[in-house]
Amino acid sequence: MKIIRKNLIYCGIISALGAGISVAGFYREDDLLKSIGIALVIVSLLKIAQLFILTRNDERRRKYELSMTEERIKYIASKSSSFVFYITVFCEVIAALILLVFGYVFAASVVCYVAGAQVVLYLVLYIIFSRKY
Amino acid sequence: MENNIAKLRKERKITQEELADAVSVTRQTIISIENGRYMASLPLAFKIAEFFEKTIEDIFVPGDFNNEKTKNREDRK
Repeated sequence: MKIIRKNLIYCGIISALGAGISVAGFYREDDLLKSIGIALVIVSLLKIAQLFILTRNDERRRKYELSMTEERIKYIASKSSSFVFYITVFCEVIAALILLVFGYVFAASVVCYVAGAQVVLYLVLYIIFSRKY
Repeated sequence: MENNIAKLRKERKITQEELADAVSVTRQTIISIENGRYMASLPLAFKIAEFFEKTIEDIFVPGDFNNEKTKNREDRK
């Protein structure tokens, strides 16, 4: 129940954020903002509805909570995030090189700084975690 | 790392779903462990061993390590 409650809060926040964005979109008459806001509201409301349905069925709720906390799922998530990190840094380096080739030096340096910051953060966290575990 | 989970399960006529429920994991995790695609954590290994009323060594067989052990024993002889 704790996980469902937590997810409901997250969905509520996203829904409120979406509503805010769509209101801003209506106010500024910006179609892109309106669409993003409405999409966020619809998706989060659907998720809230799904979570409410889950709370009515004990068996389905237990399975859902299990699938969110289980060790294999956590292992897969951590593996995916580490892959995402490597791919992101690799893509940033490639993007920086392409930007440099086309003469966008400032944009290339920004991308390089971001990639560098990510790697430094990774190393710092690695040192902290290696001391902890 | 190999394991006898599937064998033990069939012997006792327990479904993957039942085992998964008993050790608080999903059926997919039991399938992955049985196929050797995922290695269970120590707490989960203990839970599975407890469920089958066996020791961890009876269920999980460290393949290479055992071969090495046997080889060493033979060498000593």
